[in-house]
Amino acid sequence: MGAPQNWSAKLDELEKRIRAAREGRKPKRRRIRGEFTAAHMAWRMTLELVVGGLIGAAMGWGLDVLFDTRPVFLIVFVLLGMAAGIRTALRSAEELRDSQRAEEAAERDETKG
Amino acid sequence: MAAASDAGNGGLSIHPMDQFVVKPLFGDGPIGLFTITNATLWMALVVAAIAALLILGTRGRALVPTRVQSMAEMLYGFIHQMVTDVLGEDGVRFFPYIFTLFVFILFSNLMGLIPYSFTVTSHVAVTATLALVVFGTVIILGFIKQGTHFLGLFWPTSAPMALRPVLAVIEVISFFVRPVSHSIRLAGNMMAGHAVLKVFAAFVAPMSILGVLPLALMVAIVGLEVIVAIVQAYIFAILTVIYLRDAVHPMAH
Repeated sequence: MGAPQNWSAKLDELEKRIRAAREGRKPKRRRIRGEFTAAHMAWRMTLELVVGGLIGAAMGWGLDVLFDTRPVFLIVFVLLGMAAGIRTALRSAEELRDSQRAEEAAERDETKG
Repeated sequence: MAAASDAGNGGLSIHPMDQFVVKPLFGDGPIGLFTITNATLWMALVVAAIAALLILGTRGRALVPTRVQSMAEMLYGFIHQMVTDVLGEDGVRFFPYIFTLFVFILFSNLMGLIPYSFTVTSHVAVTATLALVVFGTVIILGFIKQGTHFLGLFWPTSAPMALRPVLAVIEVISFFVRPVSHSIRLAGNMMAGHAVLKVFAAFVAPMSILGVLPLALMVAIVGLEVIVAIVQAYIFAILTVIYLRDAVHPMAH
């Protein structure tokens, strides 16, 4: 009577070991870091600033042609586009700051552990 | 400098932008939707080169890979790693798409460095199309995953009611900013590098013996351009992945 239980216990044991081994072999989710150098970030934000205004101008121009109201929409949308550009650039800056903080935290963990 | 004014009538004539002209391969007619141009040719060559590397290279399916096979496998493994790093295990379904984008951009960037070739990715029309496809994917995915809640992205609930419509317009525009700036960056990088090479090249012959200087600089710039070609393809791919992540896991932010 003891044999089957023994087997199932052994099987459980084996199952556990397999799971542990699988877990260990799973590649750790490495953090993407250092992908964006300072120059890349600078270019990216500059472009975003400029592109925002351009997209706004294009949208305004299109609406003006549609409604025949040049230059009302053009003026309004250039301003809105600039705001959007600034917003995107700020968001990029935020992401950069967050990733730098996370990196610092990760390094601190590494030195601790 | 005397040589410079002798060469050609009226001094140096530099045409750094001529290399980017799209012209029909057969005949001189206007370029229509289905005209075969040099851009068409080089895109086809890029696709052929990719197919050669990935299909012919791995045809042997050797356990111990040959040199070409291991190149193909490294490329595959590199992007696969990147996709799983950012999107997690279930992000692998986007892998074919990301890999296609990356390889296409990488090969057109690199093949554009061959003298007398045409750089497909130096045209905003091409890179913007690539970016717009990404953009469309994100929108469609967003609607599939979140339904109409996806539109909440553009409706800032933290602002006072009077300001919301204005802010919504700003949000919509800023949603467009990223894909456009990605495509402009890629095309701008490729175009600037190639134009600089052309400008320096124009100085080599007229400067006679001193022409060694711009020639040496050109060698350095070509090296730099190889790096830029690879890095830009990588950046485009990783920004696509990050953009997709925001659409798939909007709460992660």
